[in-house]
Amino acid sequence: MDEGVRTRSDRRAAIAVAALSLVGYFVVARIVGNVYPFSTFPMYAGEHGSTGSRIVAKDEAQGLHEVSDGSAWMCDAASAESLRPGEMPPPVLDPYACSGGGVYTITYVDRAAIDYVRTHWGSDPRARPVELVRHIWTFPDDRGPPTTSDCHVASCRAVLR
Amino acid sequence: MKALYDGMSRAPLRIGLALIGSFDAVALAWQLHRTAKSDLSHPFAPRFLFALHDRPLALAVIVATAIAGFVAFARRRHSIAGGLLAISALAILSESHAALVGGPARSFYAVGAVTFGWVFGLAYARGVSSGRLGHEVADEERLAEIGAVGVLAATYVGAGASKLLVSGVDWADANHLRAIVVSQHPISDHSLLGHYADAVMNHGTLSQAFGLATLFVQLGAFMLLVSPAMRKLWTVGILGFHLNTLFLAHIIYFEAVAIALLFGLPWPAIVTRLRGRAVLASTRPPFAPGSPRAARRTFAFALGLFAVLAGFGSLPFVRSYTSEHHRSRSPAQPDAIPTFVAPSPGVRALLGGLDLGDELANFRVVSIEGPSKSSPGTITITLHGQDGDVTGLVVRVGARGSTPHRPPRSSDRYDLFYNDSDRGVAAPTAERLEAALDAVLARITATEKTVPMPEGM
Repeated sequence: MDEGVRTRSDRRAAIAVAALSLVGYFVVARIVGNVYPFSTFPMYAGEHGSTGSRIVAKDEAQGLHEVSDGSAWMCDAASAESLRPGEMPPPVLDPYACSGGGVYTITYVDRAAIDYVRTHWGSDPRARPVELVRHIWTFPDDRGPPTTSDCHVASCRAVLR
Repeated sequence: MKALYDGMSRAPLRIGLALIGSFDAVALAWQLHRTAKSDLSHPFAPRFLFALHDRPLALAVIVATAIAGFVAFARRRHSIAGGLLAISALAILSESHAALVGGPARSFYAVGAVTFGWVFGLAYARGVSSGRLGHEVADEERLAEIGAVGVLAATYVGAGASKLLVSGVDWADANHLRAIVVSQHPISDHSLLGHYADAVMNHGTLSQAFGLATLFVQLGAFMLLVSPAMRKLWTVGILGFHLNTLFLAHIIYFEAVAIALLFGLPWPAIVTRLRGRAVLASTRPPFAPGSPRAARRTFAFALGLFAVLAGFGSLPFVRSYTSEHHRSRSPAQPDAIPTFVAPSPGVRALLGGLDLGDELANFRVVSIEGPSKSSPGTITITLHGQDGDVTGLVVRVGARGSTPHRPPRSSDRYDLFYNDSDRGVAAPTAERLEAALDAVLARITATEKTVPMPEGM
C-alpha cells in the first residue's frame, strides 16, 4: 500500500509503535541491567588504560605462541605423576596473574588459556621448557606502535606445535 | 511512516525469528547441560536456576515449550501468546545459563528482544483496531515489523550508550579498540587477518577511526526506523561493524547478524526479482485503526506496560542481582564474593534510606552490613561499579573518634573510612573514591541530628 493513501491515524500508530519500542526497550534495559530479553549490551564498554594483554606461551627462543598450540603441559609444583587419573592439577595457575597496575585484561580469554593448560596436563619426553607469560602491549600517547613486555605467570614444560 | 516490507509478505520475518529462536533454545540447553556450577557462578542466584544443569528432562520440556511457542508464532496461530511463551522459555534457559557462568551471553538476547518488539507491535495494532488482543486485524504485521525493528535499533543504541556512559568519548580514543584487539586476537596469527589486526595495533589513528565508526553505527541505529532506504543503508553499516569485529577480535554474534539481514533487506522482492518475475503490490486490505479513543487507550496501556517493566527492573533485589553479572570472581580470592546483607531499619534511616541495589555516586550498593558481632561498632557499605565497570570499594562508618586513625571524612557524630582493595574488584580512581565518600557523608549529615545512633556503634 502506498504511503500516500495511508490514513493519518495509521501513521500515528506506526510512529507510536516505533517510538515506544525504541525508547521503551532502551529505558527498561538501562534500569534493569540484564534480564532476558532486556540488556544494555555493555560488552567492552569498560574503562581501560593504555595497555592490552593476554596470557601466552613463550618458548626457549623467546617466540610467542597461543597456549592452545601446546600439549602435555606441566607447570611449577604439580607434576603429572602426582595426579590420579582424571584429577585436575591444583589451581596454581592464576588467570588474574600480572593484571595489577591497571593492565587491561579480558578475563574470559585468560581463563580459557589457563583452563586449556589445566585440561591438557601431561607428561611427554618431547616436552621442552616453556614460560607462561602475560604479554603486555603498552600504547604510547603519540598513536604510534606499542612497546611490549612479558610478566612471568608460571614456568612449565610443554610440547609446542 | 513506511516499512520495508509494506506490500510484501512478512512470513519470512516471522519464520526467520522462529528458526533463530528455536536454534537458540537448543543451543542454550546444550550449553546448560555441559556447564556445572563453579567459582564463576552468580553468588545469589536462586537454586532452581542452578538445578536445570543436571535435569535433562526439565531442559527438554523447556526447549519443547520454546519451539512450540515459536511454531505457533510462525504459523500465526495465537501469535501473541506463542511469542510470549517462547520468550519466557528462552528467558528461563538464558537466566539459568547466566547464573551458572556468572553472567549473560548476550548473543542469545537479540532474538528474544526482537520477538518481544514484534509481539508488542502486533498487540498495539489489535488494540488500536479492534481492542481485542486475540482478534486478528488486517495488515497487523505492519506494526509488528515496526515494533521489532524499533527494539532491534534499541539494542544497538543501548550498546553505544553503554560505551559512552562507562568510558565517555574516550571509548573512541586512539587506544581503546587496539587494546581490545591485542587482548583478543590470536598472537600467532600470520594470516591476512593477522596483518590486519597488526595494522590496527600499530596505528592509533586507524584504531580511533574504527572506534568512532562503531559509536556512529550503534548510536545512529534509530535510523533503521526512518525509511526503507535508510534501513537498508544502516543494515550495511551494522553488518560492517559485525564483520570488522569478527576479523579483528574473532567475535561474531550470529543471531544479531541473521536478524539484521532478515529485517534489513526485502527478501520476498529479492527472491521474486532473482526468479525474473515482476514485483507486484499487495492487494490485501490495509491496516485500519479504529477510533481515536481506542488509539489513546492503547497508547496508555503500552506506556503502562513499559512503566511496569521499568518498575520491576528498579526493585533493589533485581538491580543488586544484575549488578553481580560478569563480576570478577577469582578462585584464588575466596572473599571476592560479598556478603549479601540488607541494612537494619536504624542503619537505613541513618543512611537516608540507602538500600541494596541503590545507585550511589555511579556505584551500585551491593551490601550494607553491621554493626554486628563480626563487625562491632562499624557500618560497612560495599559498592561495585555498573555496566562493565569492574571497580569497587568499601566505605566504613564508625562513631566519631572510635579509632585512633585519622578519617578522610567526618560528620558531627561519625567518621568515614574506606578500603579500595575489596578483593575481586579493581580500585576506583581517586576522584570516584572521593565522590563516593562525599555521597555517604552527605546522607549522614542530613540525618544524624534526628536519627539515633544505630545499636552496636
